[in-house]
Amino acid sequence: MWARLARLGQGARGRSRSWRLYLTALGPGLVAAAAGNDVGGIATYASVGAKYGYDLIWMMVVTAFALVAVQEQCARLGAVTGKGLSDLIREQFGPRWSVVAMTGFLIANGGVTVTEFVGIAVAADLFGVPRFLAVPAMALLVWWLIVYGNYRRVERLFLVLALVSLAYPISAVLGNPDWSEVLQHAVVPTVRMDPGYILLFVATVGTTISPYMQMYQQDAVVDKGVTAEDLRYARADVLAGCVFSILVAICIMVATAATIFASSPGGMGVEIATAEDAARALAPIAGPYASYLFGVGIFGASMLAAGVLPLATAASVCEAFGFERGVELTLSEAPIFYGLLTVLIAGGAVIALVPGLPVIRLLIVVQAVNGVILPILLVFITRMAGNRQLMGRHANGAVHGALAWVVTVVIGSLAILMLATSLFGPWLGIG
Amino acid sequence: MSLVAPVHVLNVAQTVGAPVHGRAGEYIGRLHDVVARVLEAGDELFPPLTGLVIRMGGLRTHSVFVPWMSVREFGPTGVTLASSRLDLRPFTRRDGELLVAGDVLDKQVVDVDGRRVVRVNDVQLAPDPRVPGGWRVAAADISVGSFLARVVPRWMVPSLRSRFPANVVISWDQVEFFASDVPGVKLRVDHANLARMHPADLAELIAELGYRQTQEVLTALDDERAADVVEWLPSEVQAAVLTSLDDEKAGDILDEMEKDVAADILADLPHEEARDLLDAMEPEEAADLSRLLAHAPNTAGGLMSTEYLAIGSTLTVAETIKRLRDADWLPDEIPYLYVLDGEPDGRLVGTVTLRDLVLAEPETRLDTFMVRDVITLTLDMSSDEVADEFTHYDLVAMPVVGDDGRLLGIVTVDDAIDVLLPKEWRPRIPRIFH
Repeated sequence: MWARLARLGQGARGRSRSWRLYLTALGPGLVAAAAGNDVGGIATYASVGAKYGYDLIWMMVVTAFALVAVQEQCARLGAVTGKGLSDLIREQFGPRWSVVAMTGFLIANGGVTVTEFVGIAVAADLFGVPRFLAVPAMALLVWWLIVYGNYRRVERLFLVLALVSLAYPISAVLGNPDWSEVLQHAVVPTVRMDPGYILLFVATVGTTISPYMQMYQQDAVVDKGVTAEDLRYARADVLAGCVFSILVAICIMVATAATIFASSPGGMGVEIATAEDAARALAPIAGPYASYLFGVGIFGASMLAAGVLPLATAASVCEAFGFERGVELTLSEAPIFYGLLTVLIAGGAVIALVPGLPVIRLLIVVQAVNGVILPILLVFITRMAGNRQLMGRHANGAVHGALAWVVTVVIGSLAILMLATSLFGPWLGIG
Repeated sequence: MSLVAPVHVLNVAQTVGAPVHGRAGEYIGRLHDVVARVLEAGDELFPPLTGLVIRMGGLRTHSVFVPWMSVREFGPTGVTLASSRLDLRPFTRRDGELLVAGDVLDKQVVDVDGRRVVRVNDVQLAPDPRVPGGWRVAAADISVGSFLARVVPRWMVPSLRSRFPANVVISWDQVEFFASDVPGVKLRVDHANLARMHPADLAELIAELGYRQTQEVLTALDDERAADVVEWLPSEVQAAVLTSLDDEKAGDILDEMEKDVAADILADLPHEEARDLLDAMEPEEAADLSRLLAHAPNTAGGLMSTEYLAIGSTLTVAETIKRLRDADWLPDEIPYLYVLDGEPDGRLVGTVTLRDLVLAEPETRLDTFMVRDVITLTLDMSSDEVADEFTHYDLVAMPVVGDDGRLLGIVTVDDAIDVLLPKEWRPRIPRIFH
């Protein structure tokens, strides 16, 4: 575990512990937030804003509570046990259940990896670079950086590029939305029963509370050597990261609602189909350069996640199953680790290049798949966080435990509802 | 001695869950776990089984303990008890009892021989050659086949086994498991095997462990050993590891560490935490460290260590060697002896190597053969300048002197070289002065 801290190379360099701990602990929160607002997140939030205006903003407020509840549990699991999520699932639930959990992670993270390469393709299109050149080149670059280079170095560059998503709050303000209406929709739920609405609902939950965020949160806490005594710093970080992530997401919705939804014919809302559509939400801040700004942000976020996700997923799976892992090993020492890593990157790039992909649709479906896998993983997480033998006095209390189970059951029911409506919707007459 | 034999080996994972029958063949319950004793010295290499935990069915399932003498048959297809009478009180474990399935299966353990952390997919039990009918824990099985055997349905196991045999097993005397993974009971795990490992190997192992296991290992080692291990850890990790320990142990470890390394770690910590650790140290060592901490980290003062030998110039070789023999503390490596014009803190007037000392006649005074042209550093030289001096003169250590010519400390080449290297190379550079 400490080895990963060493590799991060961003360990103990500050002067004040509270400041340093906050910043190192802020790392996971900030990165998870920035990664949460990746191409899939932006596509989902923008679609929600364009199709339903402010109608779904209340959901982000509810999701915020769920997000904090989930991420805090993972931070606590890491700080109390000193073990990563996949490690702990294997130890607590045995081989069969860990295969279930790891399969979930592989599908969810594999899907998200595909979307990251779609994001690179989209950015290439916006800048007029042929995607059949850009995507394989970037896939190769990411792979090479991880295996032979120092991914952690360049990671920061991508992180900075990804901070372009901060343009959305500014754009949201410049777009001059009706803030009283925004506020009203944040508090008063609007519920509809059509499959499109439920799909977007699940996708929004799936992209806001992605499975890899739990994995990342817990592993990062463990890597930094955060102990049970430091728990309050880790909690402060979780809270800050979640609030930041939710605010940016709401701003993306508001920005698209104020631009695309507001100008849609008859105020009926439109479905976003292309990246150019989504980029229009940045018009208030960037004017004619909106699509370039959008492209830069998408590129940064995609490159960041295209490296972090396959790396973290391969390491996690190998950790659970006891295979050798780590970039400091050679290819022959850790064949399964490098094999998984390569398959995830190459597979993501190849699928992203399939001609005629409905880009936005694909991005949203992947987030919805995340939303289906999430409740399965939440069962593992919530059971462990409530296990008194494992967690001692840091186990979930009655209130926290109940809240965590409510979140799990509600998200699970939503996922089942979505599957039911999208599979059987036509027969039920709501398709 | 090895108990890993192809005959009569039982896999715990495949045995747990097997039906348990009474003497008359009546069904009692299912095997839940296997209890081994790890408390008594001498048994620890291969812990003997002391009994079984059986889960009884019914409306309220509960577990009972069956001592080994009441077990008549123990095999993969099931367990038969020697009597039909059971102690029905619910099983509670006692100190020194290891639940082989619950505590070891799926956990990470150290393969001492292979110097790595591995995950246990199965545990092999073998008949005790000395006790008829007795069994012992023989080996940890880490093969992929044994993992797969626990994932697929039971009927597929035989065919799977023929393709993926249990081919990677670690004899139990080479396995170190972590008591911190077993909450609630005291298990005496002295980690004697780990203490015998090279500190560099141990540091590499620790880099793979969580903080609780790290605490357990470092606490089990004696302070000097623990200090060696911490010195071998990558510099980014050292502070995090020390602060995860309790202050007292961390202070003890700092006492034993090389002062310049300890100072670097404390300099990385916020003021109040460094203060706490200094308070936990021996007053003398803490005072030394505080002096080093007063210098900016990227100067000669920040790089230097106060661990050197200084001696008066009027002493003879014999007297000097006697001093060395009688000293209750010496640095690990002695590149030079620093010769002063008066003790204890005179001006630096020369250096002598151990080689010079051995070759000189016992009655010769140091000032007759010492090297007088000593190249020195000053406190405020930047670390880059220090590194330049080292590459220019090709020395292994250089003294730092004050304006008045007094010796303040020494910088060793490994610390000076660190400045020149990109960070990620550093852990791979062998430290010369260990």
